[in-house]
Amino acid sequence: MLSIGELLANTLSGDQQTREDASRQLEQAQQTNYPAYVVMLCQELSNEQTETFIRNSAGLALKNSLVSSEASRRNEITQRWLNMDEPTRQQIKQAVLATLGSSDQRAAATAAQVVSAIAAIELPTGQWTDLMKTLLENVTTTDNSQLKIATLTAIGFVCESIDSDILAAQSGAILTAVVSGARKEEPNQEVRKAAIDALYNSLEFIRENFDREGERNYIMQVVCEATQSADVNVQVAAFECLVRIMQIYYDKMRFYMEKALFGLTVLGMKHEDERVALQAVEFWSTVCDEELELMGEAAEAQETGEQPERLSHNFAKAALPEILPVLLWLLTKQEEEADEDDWNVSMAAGTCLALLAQCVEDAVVAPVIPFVENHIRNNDWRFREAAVMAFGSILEGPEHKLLANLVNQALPVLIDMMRDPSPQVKDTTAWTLGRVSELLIECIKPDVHLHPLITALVYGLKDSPRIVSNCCWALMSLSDQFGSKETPQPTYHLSTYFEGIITALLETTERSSNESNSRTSAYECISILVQGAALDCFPTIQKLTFTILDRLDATISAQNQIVGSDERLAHSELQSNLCSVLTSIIRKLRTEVVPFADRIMTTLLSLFQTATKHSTTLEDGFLAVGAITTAVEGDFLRYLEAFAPFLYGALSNHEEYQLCSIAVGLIGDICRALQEQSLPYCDTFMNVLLQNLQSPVLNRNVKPAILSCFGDIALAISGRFEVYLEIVMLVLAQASNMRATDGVNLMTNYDMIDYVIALREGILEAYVGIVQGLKTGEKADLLMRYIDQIFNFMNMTWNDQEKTEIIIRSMIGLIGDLAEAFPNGQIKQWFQYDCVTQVLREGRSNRNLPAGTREVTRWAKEMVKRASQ
Amino acid sequence: MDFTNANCNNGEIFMFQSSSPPKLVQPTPPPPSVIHKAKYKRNSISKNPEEARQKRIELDAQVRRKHREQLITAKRIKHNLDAYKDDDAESEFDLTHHDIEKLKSGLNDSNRDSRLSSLKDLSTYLADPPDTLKHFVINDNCIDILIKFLSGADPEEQLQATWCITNIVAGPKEFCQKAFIAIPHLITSLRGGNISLQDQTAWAIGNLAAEGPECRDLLRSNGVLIPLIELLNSKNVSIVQTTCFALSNLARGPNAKLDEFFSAGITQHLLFYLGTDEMNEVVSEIAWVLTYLTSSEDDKYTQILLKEGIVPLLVKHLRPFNHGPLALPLIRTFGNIASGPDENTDILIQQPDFLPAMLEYIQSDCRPVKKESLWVMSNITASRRPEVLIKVFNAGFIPILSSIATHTNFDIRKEAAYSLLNIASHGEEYMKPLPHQDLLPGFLVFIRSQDIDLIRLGLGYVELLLTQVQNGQQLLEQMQGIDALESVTSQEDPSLRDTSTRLMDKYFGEDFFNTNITEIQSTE
Repeated sequence: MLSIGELLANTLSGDQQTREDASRQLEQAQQTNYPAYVVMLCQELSNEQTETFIRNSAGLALKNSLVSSEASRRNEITQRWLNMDEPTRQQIKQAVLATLGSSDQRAAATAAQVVSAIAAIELPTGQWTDLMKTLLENVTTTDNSQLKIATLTAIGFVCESIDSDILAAQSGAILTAVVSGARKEEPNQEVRKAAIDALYNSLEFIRENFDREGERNYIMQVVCEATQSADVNVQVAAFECLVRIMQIYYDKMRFYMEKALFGLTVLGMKHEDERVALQAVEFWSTVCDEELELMGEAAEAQETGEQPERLSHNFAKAALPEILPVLLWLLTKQEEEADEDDWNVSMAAGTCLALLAQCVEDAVVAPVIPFVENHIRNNDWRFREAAVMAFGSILEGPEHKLLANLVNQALPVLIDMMRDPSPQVKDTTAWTLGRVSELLIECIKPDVHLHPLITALVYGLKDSPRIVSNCCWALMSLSDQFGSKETPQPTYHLSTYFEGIITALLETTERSSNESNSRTSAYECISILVQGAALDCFPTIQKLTFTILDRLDATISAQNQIVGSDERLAHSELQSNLCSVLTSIIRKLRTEVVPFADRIMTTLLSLFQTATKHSTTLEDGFLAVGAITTAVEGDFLRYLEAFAPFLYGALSNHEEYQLCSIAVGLIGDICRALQEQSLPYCDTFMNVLLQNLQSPVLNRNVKPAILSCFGDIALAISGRFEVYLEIVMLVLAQASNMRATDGVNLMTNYDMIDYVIALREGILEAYVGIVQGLKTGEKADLLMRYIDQIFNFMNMTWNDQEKTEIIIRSMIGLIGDLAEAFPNGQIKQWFQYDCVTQVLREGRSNRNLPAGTREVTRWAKEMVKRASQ
Repeated sequence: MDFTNANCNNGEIFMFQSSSPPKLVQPTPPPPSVIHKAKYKRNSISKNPEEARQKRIELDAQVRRKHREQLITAKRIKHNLDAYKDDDAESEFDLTHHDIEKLKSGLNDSNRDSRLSSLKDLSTYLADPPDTLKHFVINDNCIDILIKFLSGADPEEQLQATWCITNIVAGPKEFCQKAFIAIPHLITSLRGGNISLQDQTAWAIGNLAAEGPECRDLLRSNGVLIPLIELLNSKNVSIVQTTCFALSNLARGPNAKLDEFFSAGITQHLLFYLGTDEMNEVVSEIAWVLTYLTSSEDDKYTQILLKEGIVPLLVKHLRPFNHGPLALPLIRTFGNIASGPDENTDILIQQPDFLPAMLEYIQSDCRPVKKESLWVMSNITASRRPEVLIKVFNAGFIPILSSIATHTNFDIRKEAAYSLLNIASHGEEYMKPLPHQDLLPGFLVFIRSQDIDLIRLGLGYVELLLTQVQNGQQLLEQMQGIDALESVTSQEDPSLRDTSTRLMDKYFGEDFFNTNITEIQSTE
């Protein structure tokens, strides 16, 4: 038997067999005796005599035994550690902490990761309470720089990996350690860098410290001083901190802006090191983010006649004359061959300029235009690209009438530039044309600009992948602006070009690769064009239907030849794209699709037969089936027998919750299409749905849709719903008991609030369907037993602060439906509930409610009046 | 940076306190660079297949919601939901014909209390009248009933009825016209001695006068001016304010018959309220009346007021207004005065406090005040008398105007630029001392703009610079002025194009380029 050190060394061997053997033996050791395994690893890690690479891999193995990204596995790992006896754990923790001081830097850094992994398990359970004290001493009472760096790194990991609410109680010690390491008095710049990195990770849970002026001042002072460090790495880290601080603590920044930040960041943008300049630009983008949000809040407050809670300091407006020239200059610092994943200073400047334009609105125009005019015809592609970028960036924010003239003059120039020799210039030009189409459609004169514009964009579809994407977007925007997604117009501005554009897009999709998302973009563009099309484009769309079906059939027969996971993924993506175009076509053609419904369903059914259980193809295929139900209505019965097995399969596939959720919605669609013809299937539907509600594995977000689905079924089979009434009412009563606030510790979170709202929307839809269904079946009397339950639910929902327009709208409808179901005063005492009067008043006066609410309210009021006599 | 109130600065360890756990777990915002990268060249195309699928699923859910909504609404529509349709302009009040009948019988009730409460209800409803009530006012006897109350003897009923009239005449045009027949009764109320009724009546008259010239003529021919101006004798702040509101509305428009205002003795009242220090609350309203009296085409009304010595009284009030919006009518009055003959301007600038106060006002934080003050200054600087300009120079306007003309928003810059150009066009000795180093970049931005007025201002300045300032040409070259001039050649307006071409030809024409080329060649 090899020693653990030898085994660890072997895991890094060049020989595959040796490597695999070693890994297997280590895994076995872990399984058989976990405490012994971790103690051994820990000894290797802390042994100063061991070689660095072995210490490092021992530490990593130790860490890996303590963390997992899977939630279920995490729980198991946590218990395994906590089940070890106290002395063993103590021994490991001591050794790991001691290793932080090792002169072997790699070993110390690995130990820092282990500290954080153990802390992530123990701190939430209230153990290892002296950890922070020890770490704090490490930083404040020693001159050992290596120890300080490793300790601060450990603190940084801890801050990154543990929930804010657990760390808040430790924030004093954490901050004291971190800030003392970051001070300018600290001579070792690596220590300062580690400290500032840790500070970055702690910024979120130190809100209370930031509320205290003295502490805040000190933190700000230390960070600002660090921007002046001689070491550029420290400067970058300090600027990163400033960006995050601005994001989280904007409200408190006025004083510091005036005192220092304004000057520091304007200088920072001109810094010779691009990383510093990038962060300084990010700082101003963040200022704009915050101020845009505040502008939104202010507008909202004004609408409701209230005072906004927080006010904008208008930093961006004040800084405009200083930062704008620098941003424009930075736009010209593009990299020759920027990768899509790159994030460099000229890209950041572009985003910043766009945000700035939204923030300062009209004021941005006059200073930017000379830059555009002076450089758009420059010989250097960098200046041309920067000029177009600047122009495209300021199109959102300033008033249209200020831009209209400029855009009008620019359009012919931009259209010409789609033939620029530089791909970067073409890409940005295509994007700018997309922006114009999206934001300033009134500037595109159909008789003047449309022909050259579409010609240029279609030409761009033959260009490199990245340009394709932006050309698609521009075409989509044109379709959105000129077309109509609801009732089709007889003809529209794109009618003459429609077939040509579709043909060009289909050619683009025939390229073998999806580089830069170009193929997906082209398919998405086809979908959008179909959605907005006019009646005179229907012949082209019918032709398109067969092309798409042929392509889909081809992918199905190619299914068997696929090897490797990458290829499978690409294949399923392609099928998804084709299905999504198909769905758009079916929704658009509605009844005109009926003649091809058999062909479409045949293809879809064979697609479901060949699709693997986990592929996303099923999801998109189901969406197409949903569209078919609406188009063929009662005729769907022809396909249901064949389709039902796939539907049930998806409903019981709880791991794929998204697919399951679509399947639930599809039951509703089928019931709406078939009406009482769905009766023979309803027992199975109801059973599957009730099982899903009880499933502990199924993602909870599917559950509200199931409740709505009960309503859909009741609407379809009316009086026959009687048999399910008792169980469904019980389920709805249980669902009504869900609260976002847990009474014990008053902790609540946004996910939970959203979930409860979704449940209540679902409950209301269920009640509406059931009341209407039973009333149609003349069985409303069965509801008498549940009137109390329904009104109590409405009362509670109305009195909860968290409610949506959809909830209010549904409640109004439900009140009217109940009043109509009991017109002779049987339930008139319930209509005297305050909430009934209040919700009806809200329906009349609140103009934010969905369209048609006022009519429904008047109707409901009338019904209530009648039912109360 | 150093914050003096930080507890510790001498190298010792700064101790932080700990925090309590947060009550609400807020989602952590993603790091800024992640957010910003996603926004770079943002378009609505899905970034990856997953995002595209999420969009499709969301659309599917929306479509389903719509279909479900259509179905359940269809079941309700069976019961005639169409009958419940209404338009957006619907009133807050929901009055049936029955309700109107009840209101009518309340107004005619023998019991005074029910009459009064019906009047109060009526005036509330009139603030936002539903269709049924509109019908009552326009096609029924609402106005007749109200007139009966006006001519009655009960002061409380008169007051409430006047309230109703006030709300009616603030409404749509056909409402207002219906109320014309009440005008004689209103004027009778003005002459009575009931203070609250007079106040309310003046308000109603103010609303009527705002309706249009036809209505103002009608009011005047019914003799509204004399009793209204007499109300200015009242020392009641509210009445004086309301009366000024009515007078301002009456004095609007080109055919306001201002003679009648003066012959009714309005001047002495205005002078009194400006002169006394007891009633500062009414100064702003008084000044509004003055803005209309001084805005007439015919300068003679302004001359009357100037002769009566109104300027020192107005200047006295410039100070306490703290540059806020209340000062707007004062400023506008000054602007009106200064737009007259040069003598008017002389009277203004002879007031020692006038220019210093204006210097503060052009720096006001209140945008309209700032803008109108700059307009005043452009009128002042248009004076042809050198001593006016010297005073403006000495009061320190040049640096402030220059800074405004080169910073802030274009509409404000434009106003300041007018003053500067006015000053500059008085001759070399005024043009030369201006801070051209700062001004030129600002005016070049004007030239590069798309606004014809701005371009014209910019060209005007550049022309003066070239003709009257010794190193003007050099300065222009340094600051890429030629590019700016060139940008005008694509403008549609021929006069602008001509000016810029002329300037380029004259100063930077062939000769100029030839010299430059020779220079370059000689360095080779």
